[in-house]
Amino acid sequence: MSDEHKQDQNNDENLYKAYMMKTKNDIHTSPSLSEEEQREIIRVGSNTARNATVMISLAILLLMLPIMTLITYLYYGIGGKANTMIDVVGKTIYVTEPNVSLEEMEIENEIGLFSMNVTFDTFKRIGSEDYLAEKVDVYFGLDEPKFPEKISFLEQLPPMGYGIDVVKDGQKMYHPDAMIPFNTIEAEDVLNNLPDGTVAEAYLSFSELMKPNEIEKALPKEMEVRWLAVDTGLEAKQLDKEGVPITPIGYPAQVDPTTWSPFDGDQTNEEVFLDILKFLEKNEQTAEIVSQIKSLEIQDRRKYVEDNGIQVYGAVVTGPVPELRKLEQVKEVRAINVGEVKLWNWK
Amino acid sequence: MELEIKKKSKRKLQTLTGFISFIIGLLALTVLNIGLLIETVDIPELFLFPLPFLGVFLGVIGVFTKNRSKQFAWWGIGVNVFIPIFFVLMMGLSWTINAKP
Repeated sequence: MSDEHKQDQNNDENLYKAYMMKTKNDIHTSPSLSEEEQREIIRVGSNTARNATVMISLAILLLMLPIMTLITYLYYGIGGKANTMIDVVGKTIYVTEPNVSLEEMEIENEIGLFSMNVTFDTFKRIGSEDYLAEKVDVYFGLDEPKFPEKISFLEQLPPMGYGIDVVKDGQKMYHPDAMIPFNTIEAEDVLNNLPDGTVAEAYLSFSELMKPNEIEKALPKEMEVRWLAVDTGLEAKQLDKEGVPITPIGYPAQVDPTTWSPFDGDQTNEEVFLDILKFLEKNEQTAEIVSQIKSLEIQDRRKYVEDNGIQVYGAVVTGPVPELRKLEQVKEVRAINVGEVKLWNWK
Repeated sequence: MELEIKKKSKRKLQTLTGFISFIIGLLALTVLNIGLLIETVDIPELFLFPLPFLGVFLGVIGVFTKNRSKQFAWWGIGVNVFIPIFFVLMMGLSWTINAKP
């Protein structure tokens, strides 16, 4: 080892010792705290950190519900999504449920977290009065509807469930080319055995397709035509392209004076019907679930109606029972199916 | 090992105004949550506008206080600004959904 190298090593050792001396000196001379004071600092520090954590966590927790509520309202409000859904629900009822109306002003909606409930009442005109038919509650999870929950106030309960048999059981009007599955004499017996002092609704199946304006002329005067079942090309077979049973679609025969009704008389009911079909075509899935009908086939049926014009194969009428009995003699009517019956209210 | 500190350094405590602002915000948020949970629209107005505005004012003072941690002040401002904005947005959106005369 060279002398030069030894000298460097000595220098390094001296520097190290000097540095260590200085450090030890610094430790002794620097201000220090007693153990008690140090504990106090740690205690205060940990308390402060804990309090901050608790308060911030609490704030985040309390912010969650308002933020989720706000997101839900933004989702339904922006672009009018909720209004479209409410519209779909209302208009589906008008065109899929014979002689059923609703008051658009009375449709209520309740928005929950990422969901909405649309509730409304439906009415049936029997005689001269509207009777509460159903209380309906449709739940939407975001924009996905569930089958409506219904409380029925009708004497003839609609078939429950969601299947092919249910659709067939619910049929009351038949196309001239379709077979009538019930005994028409027995159906007329129901009408014949009802007391004279009652009013009823009757579902008529015509022997041939008719223009809407021909119907009132063909029927006795002391009754009101409520709803017209329109031939859409599928009613003769009562099946869609895939063999799924379809139900009638149609529209109210009378102008509806209730506020916001689409059939308020600004356009003819036929024009409104076609507009509603166009609107429902864009929201067919929702309409199918709301109407509990497996297949609406709106696009094909709308095209058929536009190409062939509106031709009616069935109608719902209401009036005094003695007047309804006269329908048995009308040659255009090949089957009558009695619906709801009420005590005399005819004006 | 001893804990060594320099005499000159100070511990950064939260500002009192910031802390109060945050507490006001939490209180108003709690009332807002209760209102949402029981689905009422009658939330006392005090908790929707006057108190949050006071909270924002105190929070701003807290932010400008020197040598203090501003964490609570910022949270106070954030929460207290959120409440009136939330309420106004909700009113606006509720009015657009299924509006009736």
